[in-house]
Amino acid sequence: MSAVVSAAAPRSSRAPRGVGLLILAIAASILAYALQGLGLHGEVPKDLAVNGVLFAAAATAGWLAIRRLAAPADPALYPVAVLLGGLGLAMLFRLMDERGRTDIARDQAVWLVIGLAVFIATLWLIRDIRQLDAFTYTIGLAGIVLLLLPIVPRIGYEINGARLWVNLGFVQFQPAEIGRILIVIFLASYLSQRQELLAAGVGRFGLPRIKDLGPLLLAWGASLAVLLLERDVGASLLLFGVFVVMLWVATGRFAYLLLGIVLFAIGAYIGWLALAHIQERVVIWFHALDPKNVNGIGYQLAQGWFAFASGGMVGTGFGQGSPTLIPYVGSDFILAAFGEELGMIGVASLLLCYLVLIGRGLRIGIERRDAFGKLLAVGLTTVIGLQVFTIVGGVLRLIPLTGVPLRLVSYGGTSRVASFVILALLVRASAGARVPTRKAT
Amino acid sequence: MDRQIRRLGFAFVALFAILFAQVAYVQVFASGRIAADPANAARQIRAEYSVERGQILAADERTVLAKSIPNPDQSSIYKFLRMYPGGSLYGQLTG
Repeated sequence: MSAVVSAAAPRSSRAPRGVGLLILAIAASILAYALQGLGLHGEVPKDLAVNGVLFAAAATAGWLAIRRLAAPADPALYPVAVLLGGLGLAMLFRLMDERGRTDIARDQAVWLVIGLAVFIATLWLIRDIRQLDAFTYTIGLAGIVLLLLPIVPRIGYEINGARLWVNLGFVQFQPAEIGRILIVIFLASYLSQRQELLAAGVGRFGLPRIKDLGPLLLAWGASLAVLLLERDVGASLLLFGVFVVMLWVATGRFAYLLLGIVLFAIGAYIGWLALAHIQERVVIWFHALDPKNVNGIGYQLAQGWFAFASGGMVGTGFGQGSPTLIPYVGSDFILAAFGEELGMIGVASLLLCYLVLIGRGLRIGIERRDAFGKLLAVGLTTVIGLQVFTIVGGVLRLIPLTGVPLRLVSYGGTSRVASFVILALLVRASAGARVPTRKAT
Repeated sequence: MDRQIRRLGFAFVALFAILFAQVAYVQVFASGRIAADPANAARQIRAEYSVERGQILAADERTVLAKSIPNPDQSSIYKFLRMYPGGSLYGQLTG
């Protein structure tokens, strides 16, 4: 009912909430940057003022864009993303400084600014989320092309066993990051048009009829193709997971969820049989700490595990731990670095930030009146939520490790930009959901 | 659809609750045991050199056999160095 009250209030009354959160997010990020310098070298970084002003300016630009282009939108989404991005950058500077590669952290700062520019551009270009509903199959096709682009010889290539990179000569990126968003838009569009059809048919035992299973089996096949051809476990899992969740939400049929889980189990088994590195992941998951593995194949997971344990409740403090013992600490294992230096309190804070993003995203889904908007918000939020759970659960040894970026925080240019596209779409969906309410009163 | 979205929200809360439980286990309840693993030697040595240990004095209570001094290299991960002013003279005792 509070929505009715706030809808009657003047427009400007919404501004202060967002401003406070934004200032907090910027201040916390700059403080983190100062602290990592103090911890590493006993003095604040020399470029603290310059970097601080640049960061604050970039973050404020994005916020002003929301005020101008999507004023009624949820005020919490953007500041939370700024906080995650800022803390991630501070940690990347701290890690790369110790390795003598601050240039890598600086690149990520540039990517953050590019991400913010893309965020503003997306808000500017897409004035109503329903614009995207008009190109169902074009967007779906583009998404699949981007997803499978790394398979193409000559332009696609692999790093660390997974073939998910594309080099177009002038730029290298992971097309699946963008393709994933397009596929969610396609699914939202497709499912919102077919939801009655897919929900209506009831076959034997309350299961969907065989002919209604087409889309589910197609998505399953596509996920398996990504898994077997690109050997990218994370992308495959995410693709199928998001599809099943959206199908379930669209139809309200629990049977789809159950079938999805069964198909997932079959797919995981096929992957396990076909790919040696999946078998190795499972072995490492169970036996990382065995004496024969702890300095071998289990080294990364073990060092991450020790980093968390050494951090304890409050951590060693920024710059005071040894997270650089962990291979690839800036990408997959960045949470372990937070765990060591900021402790359980730091890790829990980061996870709560993600939970806020997820909660707000799902609330947009409920606030939207149109099926397309609902499904889009749910799909994009599920991408964030599943991805965070996959990598955090992997690093914490709850599930086998799957290398996906910790959105907004960890190393990864394409992921950073894609995260801001997702954020822009959620902000746009949120603004659109709140405008009609205001007109109605 | 709204009912499913709410349930999805509960599902995510449940998933994150599992993560929180595991974080609490690794970082608080079992942290001492895990951090004491022999394979975590690099961090243990660092922790040892991060505290200022006391001096070892001879029976005359003036002669310093061993003491800790702050590491002149500020950027080193070892904050203190162990000094043995008598060199190898008292090595049999100080080890």
